Amino acid sequence: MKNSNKDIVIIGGGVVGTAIAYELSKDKSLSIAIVDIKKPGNATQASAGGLWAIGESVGLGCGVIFFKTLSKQRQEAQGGQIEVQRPHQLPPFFFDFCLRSNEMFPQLAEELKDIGGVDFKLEKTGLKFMMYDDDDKAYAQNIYDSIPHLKDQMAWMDREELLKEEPYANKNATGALTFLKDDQVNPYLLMNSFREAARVQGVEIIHAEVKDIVTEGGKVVGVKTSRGNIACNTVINSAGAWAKQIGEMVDVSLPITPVKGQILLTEKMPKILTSCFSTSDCYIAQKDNGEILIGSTTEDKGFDVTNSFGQLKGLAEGAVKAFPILKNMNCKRSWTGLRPGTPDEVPILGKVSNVDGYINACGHFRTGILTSAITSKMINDIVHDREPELDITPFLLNRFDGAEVKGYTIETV
Amino acid sequence: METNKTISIIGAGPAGLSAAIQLAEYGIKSTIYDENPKIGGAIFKQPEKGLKNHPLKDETTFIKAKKLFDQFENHKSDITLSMNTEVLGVFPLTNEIGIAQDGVFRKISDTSLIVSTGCYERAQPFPGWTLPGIMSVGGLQLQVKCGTVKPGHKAALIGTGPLLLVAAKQLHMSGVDVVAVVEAGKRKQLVSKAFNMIANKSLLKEGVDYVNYLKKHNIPMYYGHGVVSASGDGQVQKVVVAPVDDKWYPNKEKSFELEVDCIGIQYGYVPRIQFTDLLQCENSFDKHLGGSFPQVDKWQRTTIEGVYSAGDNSGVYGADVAMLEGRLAALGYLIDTRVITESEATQIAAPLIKEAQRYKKFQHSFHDFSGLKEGLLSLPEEDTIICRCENIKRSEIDRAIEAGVEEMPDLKINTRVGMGDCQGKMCGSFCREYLAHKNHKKEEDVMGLKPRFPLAPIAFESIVDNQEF
Ligand SMILES: Cc1cc2nc3c(=O)[nH]c(=O)nc-3n(C[C@H](O)[C@H](O)[C@H](O)COP(=O)(O)OP(=O)(O)OC[C@H]3O[C@@H](n4cnc5c(N)ncnc54)[C@H](O)[C@@H]3O)c2cc1C
Repeated sequence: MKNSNKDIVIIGGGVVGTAIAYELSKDKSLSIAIVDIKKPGNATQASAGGLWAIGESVGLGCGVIFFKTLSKQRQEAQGGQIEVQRPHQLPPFFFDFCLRSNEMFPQLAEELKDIGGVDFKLEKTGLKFMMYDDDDKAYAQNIYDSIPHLKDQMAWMDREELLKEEPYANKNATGALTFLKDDQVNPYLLMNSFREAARVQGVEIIHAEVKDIVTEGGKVVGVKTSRGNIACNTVINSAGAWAKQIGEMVDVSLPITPVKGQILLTEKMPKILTSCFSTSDCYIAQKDNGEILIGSTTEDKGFDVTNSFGQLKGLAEGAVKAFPILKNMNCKRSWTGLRPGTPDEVPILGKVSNVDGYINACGHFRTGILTSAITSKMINDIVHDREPELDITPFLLNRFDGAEVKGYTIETV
Repeated sequence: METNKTISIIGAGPAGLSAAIQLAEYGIKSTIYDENPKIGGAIFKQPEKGLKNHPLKDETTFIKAKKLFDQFENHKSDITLSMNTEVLGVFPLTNEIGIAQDGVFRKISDTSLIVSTGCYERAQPFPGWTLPGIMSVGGLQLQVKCGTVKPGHKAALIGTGPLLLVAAKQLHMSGVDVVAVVEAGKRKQLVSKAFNMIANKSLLKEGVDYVNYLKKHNIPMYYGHGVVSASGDGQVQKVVVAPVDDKWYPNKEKSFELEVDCIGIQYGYVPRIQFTDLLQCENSFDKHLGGSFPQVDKWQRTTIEGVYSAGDNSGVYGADVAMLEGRLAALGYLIDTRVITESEATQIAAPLIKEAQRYKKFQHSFHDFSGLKEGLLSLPEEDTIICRCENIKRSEIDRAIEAGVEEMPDLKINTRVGMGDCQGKMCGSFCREYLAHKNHKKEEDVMGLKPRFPLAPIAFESIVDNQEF
């Protein structure tokens, strides 16, 4: 690549960066480049692809183990005192963010397939929280009662109903709470479909590493990459778990840390799950090609992307408990991804006060697949100096001003 | 390095066995893990019903194998064998290795490792290559070596390198009609290097003997020819071959057909490095030796402490060099655990290194002749399947390249190439060459596939019911 000139450079081409590129590419007057190099552990390729808008907001899905880790920490802090397990819920504005994004997928599926030719396999599965005992029931009841305005998106099932719909489920399960609209996609095809549609609409994809952002008088004027320099007046930081390093290039301090997640995958199997599942141990989703994905751990191990015995065993046990048939099946592969974690589990979006032309689109933690769609709309509005459809304030970096910023394991829930 | 560690050898082929023997000569006990039921690896595969009445019992490979097995017998008490054992992966954070023995999961920890996992044959896609009856040359050889099934009645051996000749002789001795040996290398290139080959008279004689055997039995040998396509109704019946130019592009106008019911194909080898990759050993690259393989020092030490790599997995030189490297790796371990001094080891190693050099020099003289050339990348047509696990056609790979894909992990995500059970062992090498060629890059600059735990599928049962896991 020779030195070139763009209006906007998007740093990081995971699901968030590609989604933004696609949205921005609708404005034909803009010249746009994505600069991306796939680092080991990049989140989008590792993800489960759940669109679990309610599930994740109330701490199911990827959040299950996160919640368990948190409550264990809290219990230990309180001297081993047993407390009632209360769901770990995110604030209402985050619910809206997730729900609004989820609504956009059916239309996106058609749009992206038309433009770029890639089908990201949107499957109407719903998400079921499988319950084994009274504690699980109390936990689910708590979720149900806390979001009365979403009652029409939830349904209770007793054991019989559950087994009728999911004949392979644990026969001793007491029932399930279903989140009717929490569906799934293929995460890397989603990224590909955004990228292809963006490319068709003129976005240049540059396979390189961003080394530096150049500013003049507090204003972004360009980006240095491993394959040359690009002059530009806007950069968007969508570098996932590496966003902090990008921020440092312009003295923007981002409280983003990698949160390791391991996943197990089965061989291809006939359709044995009609729905996605979360239990209090793990989540289980059968993808369109028949493979069943079992996730996932949340670990604080820096940028380590290796797999470990104990954690994989924990996931396998959780899955076999929910679906005993899995015991006779083979595990084909495991992997690890790095979620871009923030202290309050909420993404960091929008402009910053000290650098003109720099925009955050990072910290999507465990819902970046789901929230890529709404993120792209909001960032598009910001680029065009319009008021985003949802209030940007709670997503701005300055929410951490003055607060003591810790790692992702905040104690204040 | 701690000395209370054990030493584990992964792979019971020529390199692994030689390492164990060398260690035993110093009274050091070792354990060898191998996925096969019997020792010997691919090249020294043992016949199912014993060697005694086997049609190949006097063939060179078998004589070499027998010598090694005899040495092994002498040291048996110091060597533990764990056969039917697959190495599934490594967990660097806890320094543990996961294996499955007869399907049961186990862990090994606190061990040094000599990795001698050997190589695969590089898969070469061409129209029709997935038809039953088309195999790798090694696959065909295994069938005759096992002595259980006859692979076919009319065979052609196509590709490049000395193993074509060896296989032709072995098949013929086993009663198969070998209709042709088709070698892509040009005879003139071979002759021009004859002088270097004199460096190793015994190997040169071996080679000449093979050629003479073919002549004596009227097996036609075509130099400078290659495969174009194969066809048949549910089973291979015909194969089209053609003369090739200097870059091995076939001249299809001069192509001709051979009638066959089985074909052995061999265009190169690929070091089996999934395990050392998981161990995070750094690789070096030499296409003549198969591509990427772990970087080693003169004692076969990799870049990871306590991990040694020996044999074809650290550059494909074949069984003779593998046996020498196995011994060198063992000496490296003996130095590192202070059983012997480096100067003692150097003395013992001197003749081994010299011998290895002779073999290597001999092999280098084949590199121009047999080195893979870009014309091979032109063989698959648009609708030829490249990744057999996931049924990915060449056109899908082309589309991904057009969309800017440059690295193997990206190709995997974009096309599912390498996402199947084999994790890209089959198509990985071809795809990496193809990516490099289409993007005008060097193959070593194209990132390879990342192997994942488990390297072979493992039942959930063995994970969840396992106290060790
Ligand atoms: C195991 C697991 C399961 C998950 N399951 C779900 C789920 O079910 N549903 C859901 O919604 N979310 C899920 N997530 C979360 C989701 O995957 C992430 O939130 C999302 O992928 C983040 O996207 P991103 O584009 O910000 O980051 P990434 O996908 O990591 O993309 C960032 C990109 O930037 C590149 N980059 C970094 N630095 C540079 C640089 N200097 N120069 C160039 N490029 C650079 C990276 O290599 C990478 O390609 C899961 C995550 C994990 C790990």
